[in-house]
Formats: sequence, C-alpha cells, structure tokens
Amino acid sequence: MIELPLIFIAGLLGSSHCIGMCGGFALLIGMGDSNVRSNLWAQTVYSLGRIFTYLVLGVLAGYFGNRLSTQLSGWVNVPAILSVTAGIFLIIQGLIAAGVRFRKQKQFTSHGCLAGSFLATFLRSKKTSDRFIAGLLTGLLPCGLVYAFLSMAAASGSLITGSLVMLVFGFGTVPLMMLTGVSGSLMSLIARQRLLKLAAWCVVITGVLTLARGAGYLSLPGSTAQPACPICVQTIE
Amino acid sequence: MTSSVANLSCDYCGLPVPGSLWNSREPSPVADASPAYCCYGCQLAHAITQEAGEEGSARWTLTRLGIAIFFAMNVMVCTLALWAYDAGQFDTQAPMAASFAELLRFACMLLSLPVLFLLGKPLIENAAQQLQQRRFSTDLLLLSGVLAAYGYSVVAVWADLGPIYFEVGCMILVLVTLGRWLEATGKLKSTEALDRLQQLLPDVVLRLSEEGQFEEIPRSQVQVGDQLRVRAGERIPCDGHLFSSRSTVDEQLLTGEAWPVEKSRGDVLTGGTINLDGDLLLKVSSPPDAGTLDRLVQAVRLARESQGEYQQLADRYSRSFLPIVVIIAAGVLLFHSLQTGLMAGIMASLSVILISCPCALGLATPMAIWAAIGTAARRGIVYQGGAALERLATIKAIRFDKTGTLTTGTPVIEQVITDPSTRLSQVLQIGNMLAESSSHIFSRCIQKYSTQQLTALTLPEMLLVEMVSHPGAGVSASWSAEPTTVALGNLQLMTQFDFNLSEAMEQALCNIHLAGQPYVLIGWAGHVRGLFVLREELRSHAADVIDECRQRGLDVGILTGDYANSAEKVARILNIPVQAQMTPSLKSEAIRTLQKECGAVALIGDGVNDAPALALADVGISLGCGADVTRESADVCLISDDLSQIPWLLDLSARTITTIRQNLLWAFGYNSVGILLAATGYLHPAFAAIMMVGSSVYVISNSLKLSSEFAIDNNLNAIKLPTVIKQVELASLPVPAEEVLA
Repeated sequence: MIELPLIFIAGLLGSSHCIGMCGGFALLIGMGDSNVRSNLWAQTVYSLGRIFTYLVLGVLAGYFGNRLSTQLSGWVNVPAILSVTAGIFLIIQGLIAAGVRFRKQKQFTSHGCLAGSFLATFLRSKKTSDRFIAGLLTGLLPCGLVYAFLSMAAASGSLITGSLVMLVFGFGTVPLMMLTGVSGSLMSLIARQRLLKLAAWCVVITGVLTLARGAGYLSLPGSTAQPACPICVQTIE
Repeated sequence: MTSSVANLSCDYCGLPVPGSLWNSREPSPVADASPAYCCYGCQLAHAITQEAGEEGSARWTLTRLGIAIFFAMNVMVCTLALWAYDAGQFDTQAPMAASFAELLRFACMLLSLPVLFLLGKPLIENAAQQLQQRRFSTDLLLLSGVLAAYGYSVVAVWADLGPIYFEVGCMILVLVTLGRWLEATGKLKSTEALDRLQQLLPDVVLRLSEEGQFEEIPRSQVQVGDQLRVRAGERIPCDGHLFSSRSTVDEQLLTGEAWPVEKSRGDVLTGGTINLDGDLLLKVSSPPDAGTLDRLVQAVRLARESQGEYQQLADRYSRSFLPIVVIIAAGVLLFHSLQTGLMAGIMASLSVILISCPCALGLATPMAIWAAIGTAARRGIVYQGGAALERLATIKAIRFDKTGTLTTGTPVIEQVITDPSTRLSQVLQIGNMLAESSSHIFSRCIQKYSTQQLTALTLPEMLLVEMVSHPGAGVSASWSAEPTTVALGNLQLMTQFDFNLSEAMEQALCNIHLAGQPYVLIGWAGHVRGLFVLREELRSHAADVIDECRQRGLDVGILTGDYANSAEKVARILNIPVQAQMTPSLKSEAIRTLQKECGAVALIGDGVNDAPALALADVGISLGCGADVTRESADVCLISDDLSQIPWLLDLSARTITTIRQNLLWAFGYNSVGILLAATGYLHPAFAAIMMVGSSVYVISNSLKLSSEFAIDNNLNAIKLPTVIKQVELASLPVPAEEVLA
C-alpha cells in the first residue's frame, strides 16, 4: 500500500494537533516518575495500550468493511464510498487543524465525558497494568483523526490491511506523545505552530489521496457506459 | 408529608432506592441492615470510590473492569478472524488453515474466561442480593443468557462442533458493567453540585469566649447566641446577625447574584456566604445543623423524592414493561429454538432482554428533574418537588404581587413639602438628626435623602438631646439651646405634642392621603413644619422581567392589596393591567377566575400576606424566603428577592420538560423499535448491548447538559471578586404605610 508511509507521517505529525487533548494524559502518566527512564517505560506501556486499541479497531473496521462490500456488492460500491468518506473526513480534520473553521466549535463542558473519571483513575495509577489500561481506554476516546483512518481501514476491506493501517497510524503517534509525556514541551512555541501547520496539510494530502483512490474505484472499467449516481454508485455487472 | 423516613436513599448517589416489586410498602429487612444502593451501578461505583479513598489499595474493582476490557478486545479480534475465516476472507486451502481456525476457537475460550470471572462474579452476587431483597430486574435474565452462551460455547469448543458465542458473553458483561457504572456516575453528577454545598462550611470556627478570647471549636459545637469571628475571605459558618459594624458579603452561593452585598450591624448573614471585607463578628441565630444551607439541601432532597406526572408515567410503564419483556423473550426463545436451534433462540431472546433493559426509561425523567432541581438550588431557588417544575412549564398566565415583589419594599422620598414659614434646609437638617436615632425603614430613607441634599449647605451648630423613641409613631427630642420639643413621625405623634397644621399643610396632607402614599411629618415649636412624601421604588429589573414574561407568551398582571391610586401608578410605568385593593379572599377569587379563562396560573408574591392565593395558584412562587425555604404555601421558594430570577426559572422549567420529553421519546422509541428488531433475530446481542449503553449515555448526557447550560459557575470554591463594586440596597421587610400611621 502506497499510503502506509504517509499514514505513518500523518500519524506522526497529525498527533501534534491531538497533543492538546492527549498530551495532558501523557503528562499525567509520567507524573509519578522521578527519572526519565521509568517515565519512558511508563510512556511506552501507555502507548502500547493505545496502539493495541487502534489495532483492534482496525481489525473491526477491516472486517466490517469487507462484510459490507461483499454483502452490498450488488448494490453499492462500498470501498469507493468508504474511501471517499475517509478522504473527506481527513481533509476536514486537516483543514480544521490548519485553522479553517467550518462552524462554531463546540465547547467541552465540565460534564463533557462521563467516562472521564473512569480514565483518570488509571492515568494516575503507577501500576504498569493500569497504565496499559489507560492507554487502551485513551485509544477509544472520540477523535476525528482516528475515525478518518478507521474509514480508511474499512475501505481496505481486509482484516490484515485494516489492522496494518491502524497499527502504522498508532506507531506514528508515539514519538510526539512520548516527547510530550517525557519532557512536557521541548519545542518552542513557533516550532510547534509550524509543525502543527505542516501536520495539518499532511493530513489533508492523505485525505486527497484517499479521495482520489475512492474516485478511482468509482470509475471501474465498464462503468463509463452508464451514468451513475455520484454518491451511491451502482456497480454494473 | 411524604413517607421520607420509610424511603431509603442510595449510599452512593443519595437518590431514593426503588421499593421492592412484590411488596412495595414495607422496606425489606435486608436493606435496612446492609448499605442500600439504588442499582448495581451505584454499588459498583461505591466500591470503586471507596477503594480509591483508601491508601495503598489496588482499586481492584476498576482495574478488574479495565483488564476485562483488554481481554474482551482480544476475544473480539480472535472472533473476527474466525468469522473472516468462515466467510472465506482467508485462503482456506492454505496449509494449517484448519488448525488455525481451531486455535482461534481455543484462544477465544481462554481469553473470555477471565472476563466471566472478573465481571460475572460481582454481577451474580448482585443478582442474588436483588433476589434476597425481592427486587426483580432484567439483570437476572441477562446473567442466565450470558451463562448459557458461555456454557454452550465451551461445549462447542470441546466437541469441536458448531459456532461459538464467547464474544457475546464478553461484550455483554463488559458493556453492562460499564453502562451501569456510567449511569451511577451520571446520577452522582446530577446530585453532587448540591451535596457539595454542605461541605463548603468550615469545620472549625473561632468563638469569642467569656474571657474575651477567641478559641477554636468544631462547628458542630456552636450554640445559638455564640459570637464567632469570621476573617476576610472565609465562609460564614452559621446563620446569624452581623455584630460588628459593617462588612461586604458574597452571597452568590445562595442567590446567584455575583455582586457583593453590603451588610451593616444587625443584618442577617447566611452560612456558606463569603466574608469579603475584613474581620467580622457574627452572632449565631440558628444551630449549626439547621441553617439556611442545611434547610436548602434538605428541601431539595425531599423534592427529589416526590414524583411528578412524567415520573409516574415512566414508572407505570416500567412496571408493566418487565413482565411483558419476559413474555416476549420467552416467546422469542421458543420460536427461534424451534425454528433454527436452541442457541439462536437464546441469542435472540438475549437481544430482546438487552434492548428492552429499561435503564434509559427509568433514568429519563429523574435525571433531568434532579439536574434541574440541583441547578436551581445553586441559585437559591427551591422547588418543592418535581411536579412544581413540570407545572411551571405549562403556565399560561402570571400574576405579580406589588409591594415587596415588583417594588423593593424600601421606599424613597418623592417630595418634601414645607410649611410656608419654614426653610427646606431646616426641615432636612432637623429631620436628618432625628432620623439618625431610629433604625426604622422610613427614618433610613429620610436620612439618606437629607444627607444627599444637604451636602452643599452649611450646617449651623445645633444639638438635639433627650432623644425618645415612640414605638409605632416616631421619635422626639429637645433642643440643646432651648426647651422646645422636636418630633418626627406620624400624625398621631404630632397630635400628641399639640402641633398645629397650617392650612397649606393640611391641604397637602389630604392630597397625599388620598393618593395612598406613605408620609412622615416633622414639627417643632408648636407647628408641623414639614411633610416627607414617600414613594415605593420599583425593583430595577421589574420592567424587564414583565417584558420577558410577555415574550414567553404569558398573560401578565398585578394583584395587590394596595390602594388603586398607587397601584395604578406602578401599572402605568410597567404598562401592565392591575387589580387593586384585593383582600386575600379576593386574590384567591381572581386566581380562580383566571384559571378558568387562561389556564394554569403562576403567582409571585412574598408569601406572607398572600399565602392562600399562592397555595391556590398552579405554581406559587415566593420571593425573599431567606432561611424559610420550605414555605408551605409556595411551590417554589427564592431565598433572595431578586425578581430577575423569574425568566430564568421559566426557561429552566421549559428546558427541563423538553429534555424529559426528548429522553422519554428516545427511550420509548428505542425500546419499541429495538424489541421488534431483536425479536426477529436479526440483532446480534453484542450490538444490542452497545445500543443499551448508548441509549443510557444519551439520556444521561442529555440531562446533564441541562445543568451545565444553566449553571452559573462550575467551580464552587473559586471566590470571584468583581472589578466594580456595585452598591446594593439593603433590602428590608416591606412595611405597609398603615402600620406606621396606625
């Protein structure tokens, strides 16, 4: 898959826009540790938990993507729709991160997440197993970027590829999260802002590529003969 | 009174524990002995929070859930791989493919057993306890379904035949536990804002001992009459009166008013408010456990227990729901078992039970009501029950009392009329000196007015001696220079001192009397020299409040016992119809007529002299209740006399009802559609479980949204000091003119 390195980069740089949300968690994870080494270990365990969740989600997406495309193959071009969805998702996410405002962003209120206290208990714990669970749960938190890559995993229509997409994405998010967790912030504000912009456009590019691939599915051989609905393209057999 | 003693409250969320299904009258003996929980979620959450509080504890309960989630995810992956294998997504011809599938089945079994052990055990214990307490719930059915899925699958793996259902068991266990835990957390969140109020009071107070020393004692030992020292920035520990000269107090906690309130000696201080300004001395007026804050919390606790119409509707539905669900589930089990096989039957009936789990339905009304009642309490507004809140959303007309409701109850000087032979400055000056000696509300306003007017004038040296207060009539004194009496007060006092009324003064007095305005006379040396004409002042927000009520489509009006002249004056200013000279019985009559003409009526009054009408109105709202938050006649009590809370209150009620309707619609709709889908056997139990949790979470967050939308500030402990200090008039009890002139 041509996108895999790009997914890694999208994960790597895209994660900088998530630092606002998950960076706090990473900091919390490392808070109890005095030396860098034990902190690094904590961060690794936490990240592994996160990646595990992404992996499972990738498998799920891959499976159901496949199921959808096999069951609905007579009706709808599922990979195309999923790819287009993923592409649009990614582009929107990227543009939002780049500073484009589509509508008023919802403010998170204090009650925001009911599961908050659930997660917090694990985040504050010093036990390795608890840290792993904290990572596990962090992976389940709603995140536009994750959803976008999940749509991509679903579009692949394969358990293996789906999990691979999410795995690569997950590993991509590790370095920045680790950095944030270990040292708070090493970078200057300007450097972070630049990286943020770069990351945002990287996500947009991944989105465009995915969209293009989706569009490629739409124009399957033979489909040119008949006009097709641009949204629910009926495959011609 | 409701049977609040018999009602148990949950040890975790503090909400009432539902009665047992089979004998709902008597509390079961088991529940009395052991800690009571309203649901499994609360029991679970309580275990978690208790453990979290203990030092060195492993938070085993929560960790158990976390580990179970990990294992369940593994089971999920293995199952998906297995399904993909069955569906031909993998190359089945590859070497070792068959043994790979078998390996996956074994892995599923091994990975799912810890989930059963970790989460199944407490669920089983809870179900057993429920049986003991004669409370029947869907938990028991769920458990049987889960155990059947496990049992069947173990046999299937062992004998290497048929499909396995470990993922179903795991998903249900994890999601049910998580869902219940989330529900408990949601409930706690809807009630914690209020419960935290009580904890704000300091544990230790500084008491002035008999020797004149300050000693630290626990707050619980404070007695009525004690003098306590409260330092700047501290919360006032008990209700009492200000014993030192002046202070500024932040009463936002109880009134929602962000501006600091000026207090002078003798003014009421409420426990829980913050002393902003230097040390103050407090004379305690109520025992530490019977202050305004405690009464407020107590009143709200009682209100939570009372059920409104929507709650009764949901309860009735839930009660008949359970047997129906059991019947449907049994039918589905039978049908699908005969049609496809036992396991298909079990799966379908499990889906039915999961979908129909009436968690969302049970939470739909109380969650919204609790959130609303708690939010209102944070503004010093106490509903006497959920029904009052529901009724307030249905009102069509609103009536205001005048004195003390639309007007401040603190009059201002409108005009000073003097005898032709006397200079105005003299009247003001002597009036000021006399008024200084009295704390009467009229004296205060004369003093305030004359001080403002006199600043530019030079004051000749004059002294008044032998000040005498005549209760109910006024004050008198003598000149220091010559033995002449000066007096300030009503007509009776003037007659007492044989002061003559000049013709001009008599005419003026006659006019004022006719207009129904209160007045105070001043006289010396045998003549009445001046006439202070007072006017009631409208509350600053009165016009806005009436406008806002109109915008909400309500029919507005004034009902007052005051004279027509003065009532109409207010009515003209506010552009609102008025019915004046209404005795309490006439007020009640007017409310009855209005109820026939318009529909539900809300009456806003001070709750003292209009109690019968308040009780008769569909919603009686009483202003300025102070510590008396459980006024019998009023359905809604406002601690403060801030009229601008009314539109907010109307909005809150309307929003609460909308939320309840949304919740109920969702819960009913989701259950009905879900059951149909589940009964056909097309809904996989794992999805049913996800939908169950999702449905509860929707209802909970929809209700909690209510409190965050209407909350004033989320951080109770933050002391906010406004940049501009606004002088707030000291609100005193309204004193009718007749009382002074009698």
